[in-house]
Order: sequence, then C-alpha cells, then structure tokens
Amino acid sequence: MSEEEQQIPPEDANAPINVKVVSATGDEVFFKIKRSTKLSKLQGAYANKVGKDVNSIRFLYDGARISDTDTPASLDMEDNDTIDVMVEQVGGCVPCSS
Amino acid sequence: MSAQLLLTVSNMNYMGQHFAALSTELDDQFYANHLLRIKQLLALGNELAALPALQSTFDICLESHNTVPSDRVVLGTFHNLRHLREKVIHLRNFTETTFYEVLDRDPVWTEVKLRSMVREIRLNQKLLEGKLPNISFSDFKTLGAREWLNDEVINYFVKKWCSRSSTLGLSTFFACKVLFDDEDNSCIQAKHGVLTLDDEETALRWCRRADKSLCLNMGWDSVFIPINENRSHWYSAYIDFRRKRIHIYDSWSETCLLNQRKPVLLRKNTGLMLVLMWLAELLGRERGEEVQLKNAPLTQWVCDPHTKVPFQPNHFDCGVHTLWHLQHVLAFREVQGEGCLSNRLMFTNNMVGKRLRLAQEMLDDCGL
Repeated sequence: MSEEEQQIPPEDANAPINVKVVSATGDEVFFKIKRSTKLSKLQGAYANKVGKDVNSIRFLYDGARISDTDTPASLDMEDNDTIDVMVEQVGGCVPCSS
Repeated sequence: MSAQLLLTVSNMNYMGQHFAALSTELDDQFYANHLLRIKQLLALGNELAALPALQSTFDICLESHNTVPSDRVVLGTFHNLRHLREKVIHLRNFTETTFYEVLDRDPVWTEVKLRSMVREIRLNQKLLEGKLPNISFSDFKTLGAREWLNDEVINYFVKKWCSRSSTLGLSTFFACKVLFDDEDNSCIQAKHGVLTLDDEETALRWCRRADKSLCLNMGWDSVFIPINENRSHWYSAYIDFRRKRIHIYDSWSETCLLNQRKPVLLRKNTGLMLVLMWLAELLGRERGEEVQLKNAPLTQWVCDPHTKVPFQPNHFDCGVHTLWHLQHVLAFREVQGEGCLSNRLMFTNNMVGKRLRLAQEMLDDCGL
C-alpha cells in the first residue's frame, strides 16, 4: 500500500484517481479519471452506462451536490473515493406504516 | 434624501408620504403592491443597516477632538436616521404580516394565484433555467397547488435558510445514506445494532461538507434533517445541543397520535431515535462537547420520537410542513402549534399560502 503510494511522485497532481460510483441500490461502477477532468464527463458516462437521463439523477460527493464545473481536484477528492448516485424523492402523504 | 430632510426627518411624516397605506382587498393589485412595498422597505432597511457602525465610528472621533457646533447637527442627523430605521423595520414587519395573513385567510384566491403563477412559468420555462442551482421548472412546479414537493425544492430551501445560521441543515439524502439501512433508499428500516466506524466516518464527512457549504465554520448548535420515507412522505428530525433535545416531527396525525399511545419499544420511530442519539453523541464530540445518551438514564436530554406538531388535513402538504418545521426551529428552536405568537410563521390548515410564499421566494431569488 505505502509502496504503491510512493510510486506516484507527489508533484504529479494530475495523476488519475479511481472513483467508485455507487447507486441507491448498491450497484458499483468504477471510473479512472484525471484530477483535472470535469466530473460532468463522468456523470454523462455513468448515465449512459446505466441508461438513464443525466438530469434525472443526482451525484453527491460526501453528501454535497456535484456541480457541472467541479473536478476531483476542486473537491479535494482522493484515490478510491465514492460518489453517490441518488434518484428523485417526492412526498405528500401516505407514510408506509403507522 | 436631501441634507435638509435628514435634519428634519423625524418631524416630517416621511414614511407616511412615501409609503401610504395599501388597500387590503385581496386581488392582483393587492398582491403586486405588497410585493413591491416589501422589496422597497427591504432595500431601504439594508441601506440604513450600516448606521450603527457609522455612528460608533463617529462617536470615537468625537472623543478625540474638541467639540464644535456642527457635532450637534451630525448627532441630530444620526438620531433622525435611527428613528427612520426603526420605522422602516416596523413597517416592513407590519406589511409582511398583513400580506401573509390576508393570503392565508383566503386559500381559494391564493390557490388560483399560485396556479396562474406556475402556468406563467410553464409557458416560459427558460426564465428559470440555470438561475438557481439544480432547480428547473419540473422542480419548481412541485410547489404548485396540491403537488408533492420534491428533493430539489426541499434541499434548495434547507441550504438557503441554514446558510450562515446556527443550524446545520442536512440534505434529504443524509437520512437514507447514514440513518437507514434499506437497500433502495426508502428510509423505512433504521440502522440498528452497533454502528460501525465506517458509519461514523460517512456521517462526519457529510456533516463537515455541509458545514463548509453552509459557511457555518463549526458555529452550529443544532442539526435539521429532512427525511423522505418510501418516496411518498416527508418528515424531519431536529437535534438541539443547546436545549439538549432530539425531536422527530411528522405532520401525519395517525403516525403521531397512534404511536404516542404505544409502549416505547413498539413505536414507529424508536429505531430512528436510537440512531439519532448515536448521531448526537458523534456530533457532540465533533463540537467538542461530551454528549452521553447511551446507557445514561440520568441524562438531561429529552428525546421524543413522536413530537406533536400541527397536522396536515390532506394528502399533499407534508413537504411544506417539513420546510415549515425548519422555519420554526430557526426562529423558535422548536415547532410551535396553536400557541405560536408569530402570525406570519403560524401553521395553517391549508398551507397553500405558504406554497405561494415559497414559490414567490424562488422567483425573487431568480430575479424575476
């Protein structure tokens, strides 16, 4: 583990990192992206892969919404970090069980 | 305002001249006039907000020079402006309260107004696109009459209202990620047993990120958590470190009343309360304060899994109630029922007036 880390020179700020995208149902998709690449690219690729409209799903990093201009660098993401994918929530009444 | 006016403003009926009484008959004119008046008073109030700082600077100057006759004039002007500021604040409160009361009193008119507002934006959806983070027309329209609110709308207001406040307002996804166990994020089965270090780390990461995005600098002393149950119901939880309380607020009367009568272990929200107690201990440590709730029968904390709050008499308003829970805890540190002293924040049987206010607030934020 520590040997691997040492292989990446610290000045290489743009070394690609692995990002795990986890859906609400626990399905995982892995991506390798550069720290300077906009995450919107990853969002589009993910939506394509799972066959969903990118506007219908929400991408969160540590619970905060990922915006179109965010990159792994701007969010201080680290190797093997997780992005959560959530779907729309609505509510009006009918709690499941009283 | 002219210099002459500044010297004499308290003697003149400045407010009366510029802000004549508005008609209280509810129609489109009433609506537009009140909106405009509130905006004007807000702008004027903001201009005058610099006053106290300005005056204290002047006071310091006064101490370090010999008195000259013009000092008296300046002090007189300050006095007048202070007086004016008080009047502006008073009139704005009065105007807002009247406005909201009149809307609440006539839900039929208010619903028609809300419908026409949503229709207008529907015809021109571009007006909304890209103006507010993550809000498009399909989200905005969930504020419409009898619609079910969606997560984007709830998250928009939680973030806006909790920014720079003393309440850590969390996203609607926090509960399904951290507090519940269901595979499909339906928030039905609360986590139980021993919560792992992974759970702790996730909770802390989410809370730290929220603290940052709300610009709270760890200055919060309470936490608000909106919860979506089974993609059909909104309710909320509130942890108050100052008053040492944890509440779960649910506007669905049956859930509250039936469970209040049950033995503690059989109540619907007992499992969730146990997780919230764990969270309170965890976030207590994060705040640098010792909160001991587990195995602590002598604790001063009060934990109520079914706190009585105003109920929704319909099948669509729980989202608005949930946002109103937040309004109340921000204003009163609790949800107030019939005894609520603030007319503008009081819950109403028909929340359509609140919907219209929320929709208007969003349009105002878009600059429309």
